[in-house]
Order: sequence, then structure tokens, then C-alpha cells
Amino acid sequence: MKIPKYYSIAPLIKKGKELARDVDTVSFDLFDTLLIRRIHDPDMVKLPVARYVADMAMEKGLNWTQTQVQDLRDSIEQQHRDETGKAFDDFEACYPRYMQEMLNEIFAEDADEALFDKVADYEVAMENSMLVPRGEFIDWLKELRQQGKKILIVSDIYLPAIYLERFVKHAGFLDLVDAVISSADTFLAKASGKAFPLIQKEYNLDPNRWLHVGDNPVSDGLRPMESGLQALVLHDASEKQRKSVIRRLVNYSDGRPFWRGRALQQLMQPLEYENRERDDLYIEGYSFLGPMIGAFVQDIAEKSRKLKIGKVFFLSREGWTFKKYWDQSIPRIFPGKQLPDTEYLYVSRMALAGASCAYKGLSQAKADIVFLPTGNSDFLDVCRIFSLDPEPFSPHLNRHDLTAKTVLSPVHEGYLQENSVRFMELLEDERFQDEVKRQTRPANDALQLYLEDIGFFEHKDIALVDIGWLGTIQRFLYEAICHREDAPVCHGLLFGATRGIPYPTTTDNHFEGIIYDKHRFDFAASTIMYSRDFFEEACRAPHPTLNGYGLKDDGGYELLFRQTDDEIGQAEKEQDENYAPLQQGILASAPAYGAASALLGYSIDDYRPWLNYLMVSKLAFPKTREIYNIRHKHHLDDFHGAKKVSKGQTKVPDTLWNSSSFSLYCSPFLRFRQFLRHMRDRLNE
Amino acid sequence: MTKKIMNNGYDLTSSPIGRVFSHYLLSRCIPMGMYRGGGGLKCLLIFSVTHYFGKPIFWFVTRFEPYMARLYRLKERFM
Repeated sequence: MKIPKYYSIAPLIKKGKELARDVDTVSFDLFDTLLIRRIHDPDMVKLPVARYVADMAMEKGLNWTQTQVQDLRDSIEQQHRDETGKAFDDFEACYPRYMQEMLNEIFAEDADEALFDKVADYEVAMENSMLVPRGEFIDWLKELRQQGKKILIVSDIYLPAIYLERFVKHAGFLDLVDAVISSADTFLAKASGKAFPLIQKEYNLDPNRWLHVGDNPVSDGLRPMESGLQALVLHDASEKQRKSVIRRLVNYSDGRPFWRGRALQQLMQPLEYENRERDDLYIEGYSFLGPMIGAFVQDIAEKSRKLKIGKVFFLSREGWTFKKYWDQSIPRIFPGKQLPDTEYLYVSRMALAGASCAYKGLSQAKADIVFLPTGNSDFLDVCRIFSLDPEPFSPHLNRHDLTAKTVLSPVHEGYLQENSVRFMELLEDERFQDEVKRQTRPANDALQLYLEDIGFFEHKDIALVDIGWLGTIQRFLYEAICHREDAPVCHGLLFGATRGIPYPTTTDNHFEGIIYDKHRFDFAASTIMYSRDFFEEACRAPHPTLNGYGLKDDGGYELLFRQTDDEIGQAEKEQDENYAPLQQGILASAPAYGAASALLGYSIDDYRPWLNYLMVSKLAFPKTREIYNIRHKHHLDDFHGAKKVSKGQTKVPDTLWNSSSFSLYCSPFLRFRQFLRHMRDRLNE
Repeated sequence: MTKKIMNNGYDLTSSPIGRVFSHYLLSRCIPMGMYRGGGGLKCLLIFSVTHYFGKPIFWFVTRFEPYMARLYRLKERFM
């Protein structure tokens, strides 16, 4: 009997349409026909379920590992298949029966129906995240529906039809089919051919007017033809290629960790109709920034569990993207584990700077931070950043032979060494510090009200998540609240920690960089410093920055946001619009990251080699077109003043990311030279 | 400009295997950082073939699968 095989969908559907004219019923196989899996091996979907069950067992104090759970499942399933084989031709198993038996063995009397439903729901969710409907088949289904054909889905699988219906519903074509039939309900499968007479009888079908389509030459070709049906078998070459890629990536990942991140990205890739034409920036968001942010938030979740962190605060404004990414990916990766609460915290360097001085005054370290940006030069800049009124400081300045405009930054014209000495003396002046504390106290009071309102002081350990780089926000925030007895231990978790100035690390207040940390020498990751502003702009929330915290007349507080109607506000708006596709791409990758990472079971250390490659390749050796696409147009930095630096100091070294088009196209070995310079700078740090 | 996230060779549009390969070659000349062994020449060659020449190869392999299986068994016996 010659089985009609087709090597791609288009000719199969063409033939199917011809045959469909003379039939009343068309039945389809489900897996690898109407639905394809992102992963090459369907059994891999069982692994996160085993991890989930093992995690739940651990939470209940039962000592089960993922491997033990998986082995138990396999052995019970095999027993069930052997039992079925004694009474039927097919060696089938039924998921609810053997899964309940497995849960009984692990959880004993705790293995109730609710527990089974939880596990089954997770397994269905994992399957759904890996299943994609084949676009051309769905289009054909719609046509068949319009022609009034009876459409059946027939599958040989351990899951009963009610579960298959959930897959079909999730894929969006349940309304196109009349019935979904699974061998798990009757133990009569397509493989033995027993399923076809049963379906014929149950649905009163004429075998001569019935077409079956599937991918298995025996179950979907030979057996239906033996029962008198017409059959078409899909032997898809392109699917074989796709599965070959992911199979190799997963297999090579065992021995070569470099491929683990690439395997993750392969599983995240959109398939079929999901894979539409997208903006270049969307693609960069999905394929470059998405996996990096995913690995970052996954590591935060792991560290939070290890450090017993009660609540994770995502600091504005980059934390907005991190939190959204967390919400859409982390529950998928850690389904059986207790995760900390999360909250988006409205903060900014400018808003916290003043509030941080209310109890501790203005320290030398904080004053140094002011003069890091070259646009700041005098005491007026100090006042601008710490929200101080310069007028009441005149007598204090006079006492130390300073004025509000005395140049205090060495890169500005008129600077004298003794100015810095006098300024240091001013900072040690108690009367000066009293005035600083007096002026900044209302902002601090308002900040504390805000923090109390959002439950900041309700946990012993909290995480502060920010993009980077010096930990200034955390420094200011901790100084503003550390006088309180209920101040929590602050664990700072930054995307990148460049540590430009020393941080006052204590056991109660410390931070570390997850993707890059200067204290953990990782040369490839240090390429993040090529374009830090890009990461800030890409992750920035679509709301204006916070200028401060105000006390209201009724004793409450208010968050004071920056006005957006000025030139800087408009520039920021323009930048938001420019990066909108980038952010869409980042957020679209979050569910895919969660599903892929849950399936692979890897953590950031596994993904790091690939992420390092991405950073070096995209930031240090980008294509000129990529620089044009990714480079931001505007970057707001309220910290940075508007003062011009002196002539001798004006020469700012060119970086790759602010090079002209001419340099990018024509300068020989530009990227290579920049990379060597970057290497020298890092080694000299 | 618009493109698809995944290209016709099931590769990442933004980081295709050719780019990974050239990066690997560059990393043989200058230190690039921590890649934990990197991609490996053999893996990179196999992926390059699978992504760039996969279409004709798999077209052939699926059509002549029984013959290919026999060849594969022969190879397994002697190699």
C-alpha cells in the first residue's frame, strides 16, 4: 500500500483541498501536524513539571529531587502502559491515573485533587508555552469549516481529550473543530488502527468520505488506509531542519556551556505566524536586551530566595521594565517556590539627594558625587542637586571665604586647590550642617511617609533593584532611613555595577552587579560600559522623573514629578517614541524567556558565556547599521549641570558609540582600536 | 527597516551563526573575556552547515530517508 507522503505543507494542502471536495469528514493528527513544539523532544516538557513537583515536596519537607520525581513518573507510566497492553492492542497510558498515583507516592495523604489539578495545570501551561499552531493548516481548517465539513482531531497520547481541548483552545482554533479524540480515553489508538472503527461508529462516518491527515506514516498513513480512509502524510523537511537545530543546541549545551544561552534564544524564537516582520529595534529588544534582562531578573529571584528577602523593590525608572519582565517570566520559572513580594518604588537621585541629608548632613562623599559630572562646578550646583536654598548659606560660606559661585571642580576655569580645602572645612562646620538638615527635613519626612505607605519597613531584608551604576540611589535612600530602628537590611542588586566611587558597604547595606560588577573581573561583561546610557534609555519607564517628595498640608505626602513641557521633557518624549519598538520587543520576550528558561532549567551562570558574547558582539563590535538603529538620540541627566569645562579639559575621548558616520565607515580598525583601549582602561582600573 | 526575528535558516536575525563564527575566530587572536570554552570549532561548523545549507540537505534527507538510514547504519558499523 503506497502511502501518499508530502515533504512540505503547501503541496499537501493543495492535494488535501482536491480530496476534500469528495469527503464529508477531515480528521487531523494534533502534534507535529496542527501544532508543533518549539522543543525537539516532547519529553523535555516533563522535566520542569518534575522540578515543580520536587519543589513542592521540598516546601512540605519531603526530600525529593527532580530526577527522582521524573524516574518515578517514568516507571509508573511504563507500568500503566504494560497493564494496558495486556487488555488492548495499544500500550497506552492515561495521565490523570498515573500522575495521581505518582503524587500519592510522593505526598501520601496530602495528594488530594487540588494538588493534582495544580500539577496538571502547570503541565498544560508548560505544553501551551511550547506549542504553536501551524498557520497554513489553520487557514485550511477555516476553509473546511466554511465548506461545512466535519473536522476531528485524533491523537495518540497519554493526555485525555479534555487536556487536548485546552491546547487547541489556547492555540485559538477550538471553534473550528467538532471533536477532539484522544487514545488516553479509550486505549484504542491510531497506532493499532483500532481508533478509526471506533470513531466511525461513534460519529456515524462513512470511511469512503473521510480524509485523515497526520505526520506518522503508520498511525496516520497505513492504519487509516487499512480502514478504508484516504490519508495524507506530512514528512516536513523544514521541520526536520528546525528540530535538528534545537536538538543540537540542547545536546551541545551539556558539554559546551556557551550554547546554553543560544539554546534559550532558540526556544524563545517566534514560529509560524508569530514570526512576523518587525522593526529593527523590536528585534534588538527581543533578541539582545530581552535575554539579558531575563537572566538578570531570574538571578534576582534566585538570590532573593537564598537571602530570604521579603520584598523586592524595583527602583524607578528602569525598574519599571525589570518589574514588568519579572511579572511575566519569573512565576513560570519558579512555579512551586515562594517568591518575594514586589513593588515599584518611585525614587531618583535628585529626589533622594536632599532627603538623604536630613539626619546625616552633607558628607564629603556626597559632595564628591556632585562634581563627578563635568557640568557641575560650584556650590549652586550642590544646592540644585540637594534641593537646598543657597540664600541662607551665605553667612556660612562667608565664614570660610567662599561664595556660592566659587569654583569647586578642578575641570573648570578659576579652580584653586584651596577652594576644595575651604569647602571641606565648610562640610565640617556644624552650623552649616544644621542648616542643611533643617532644609532637607521636610523632604525626608515625606519620603518616610511614602515608604511606610508601601510597606518598606515591614520586612527585615529587602532587595533594591536598579540598573546601576555607582549605587547612588541606594546610598541616598539608605542614608535617609538608616536612623530608624526598623530600617531593613538593603541588598542592592544592580544590572551593572561600575563602582566609580567607593560605596560605604556594611552588612546592612551593600550591593552587587549581576550582569557586570567591577569587583568580579569579567572583561567581556565590562563592554556594558561602551554605552550605559543605551541601557538606561531602553529600560526607562514612560513617566517623567521624580523631582522630590513633598509634605501636604493635611500631613500626607506627595510625589513631585518633573514637568514635561520644557525642552528636556519634549526631548525625553521624543526618545520614548523612538525606543517604543525596542521596549515592546523586550516585554514581548518575557513570557518566552520564562517558558524557555523553565524548560531548560538553567540559571544566569549557564547563560553568562552567551550573554557575554552578545555584549561584546553588539557593543564592542557592532555593525554600523546597528549603531544607527540602537543609538539613543537624547538622554536626560538632571544631575549634570550646564557649566562649560575649561579649554584644557574639554577633550573628551571619542567612543565608538558617539563616533561620526565617517569614522564608523572609514576609520581603519576603529572597533579593534577602541576595544584595545577599553582593555587597557579595565586593566589599569 | 523591518525583518523577522528568526530567518529562513532558523537562525537569529540579529546574531546569525556567521557572526558567532567570526567572533570565535577573533577571540582566537585577542582575549575577549569569559566564554567558558566558547562555541568550539566543530559545533560552529555543524551549525553553519545546518543554518546556511540546511534547506537542500534536509530536502534530500527526508526524500531519501530509508537509503540514508541504511548509510547511517553502515557508518555506525564501521566508524
